[in-house]
Amino acid sequence: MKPPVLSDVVKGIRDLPSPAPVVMELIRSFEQEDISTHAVADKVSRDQALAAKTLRIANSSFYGLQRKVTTIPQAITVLGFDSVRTLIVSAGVLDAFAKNRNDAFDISAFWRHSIGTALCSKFLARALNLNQDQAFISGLLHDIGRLVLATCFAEHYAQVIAYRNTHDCFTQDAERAVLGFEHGMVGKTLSEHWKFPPLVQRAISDHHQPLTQDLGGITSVVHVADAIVHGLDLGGDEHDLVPPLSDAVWKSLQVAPGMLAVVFRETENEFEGACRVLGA
Amino acid sequence: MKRYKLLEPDEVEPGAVLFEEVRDAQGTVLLPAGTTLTEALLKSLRRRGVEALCIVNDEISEAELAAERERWKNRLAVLFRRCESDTAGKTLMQYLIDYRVGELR
Repeated sequence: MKPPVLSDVVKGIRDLPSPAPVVMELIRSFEQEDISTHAVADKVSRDQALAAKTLRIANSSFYGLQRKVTTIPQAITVLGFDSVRTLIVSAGVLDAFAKNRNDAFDISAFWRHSIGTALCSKFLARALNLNQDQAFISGLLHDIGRLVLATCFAEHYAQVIAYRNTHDCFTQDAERAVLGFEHGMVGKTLSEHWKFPPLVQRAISDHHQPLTQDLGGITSVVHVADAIVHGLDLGGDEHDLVPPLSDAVWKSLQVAPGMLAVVFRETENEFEGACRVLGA
Repeated sequence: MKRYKLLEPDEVEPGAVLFEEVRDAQGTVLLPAGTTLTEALLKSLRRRGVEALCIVNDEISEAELAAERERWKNRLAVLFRRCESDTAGKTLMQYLIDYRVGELR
């Protein structure tokens, strides 16, 4: 079986179903300043499934709202446009991939790790005074390349997983050995195709090795959050392995033990609820 | 098994002790860890819309706690098995051990 080459990956990504148009519009709007929240609220409200899911997340314990929000405009008023946009994009991307189930790849375990990383990135960002919404969306999508590979090249990806289990190595090493490239690059291609902002693109493509320019930034937060979530054992996979943690990245965030203990506990406490509302 | 229970304010009896601080949605501390909850405090937390409280769980025996601490130390050594040469990885592993053991003290 001939392994896929990069051009196959690009073709595979083009053939994937995109998220709903309003979700794509919101992804592109991360870079725009003059977006009409009114028009967005209107479009999302018309997509009943998406609106319902967004409201379910907004009303979960995650935001600790005193009163339930019942409409999208109300959610925007209470939580702010940036948070609601993050919710809608999260729900929309999960839905786009939900249509592509395959038996060889445990998609539920995949999203559970992604949601754990999203939460942990958000709480780390809050402790470090970085943008929590960027951290959440970057954490949620950091491994999206893995999902693309498992969706578009299921048989090859089954070989990657078999290789990893036999050699007890990091998944990215198994990908390099079997495919010749790794999921960060695939995720980067997808995030360019879907026009995520450059900052999120870099968090996806470089989360295993953040660039110097991203030391202390969101990509670094995701790098550390990924390791923390594996270390918290949220996935419960017997063969799970904490990925390598870069000394330079770790130092750049200047995390204190007391602060991390709070991040650990918040991540654990919110984890099951967040998986439930996001449907993973 | 955890040294704490996560409960809604309505499920908590007066006299219960907070395992961790209570924060509002903005992250402001409302009550510190170790506070013994009274009916008045519980009422005020409900009024502020607090949905979950982290309460000390006093139903676990010392032997169970010790076994659980040991289990976590072994599990973390397995999870971090490829990080032996990695300073940051070792530091994170130690923080996680402290966190787990601290939760089970």
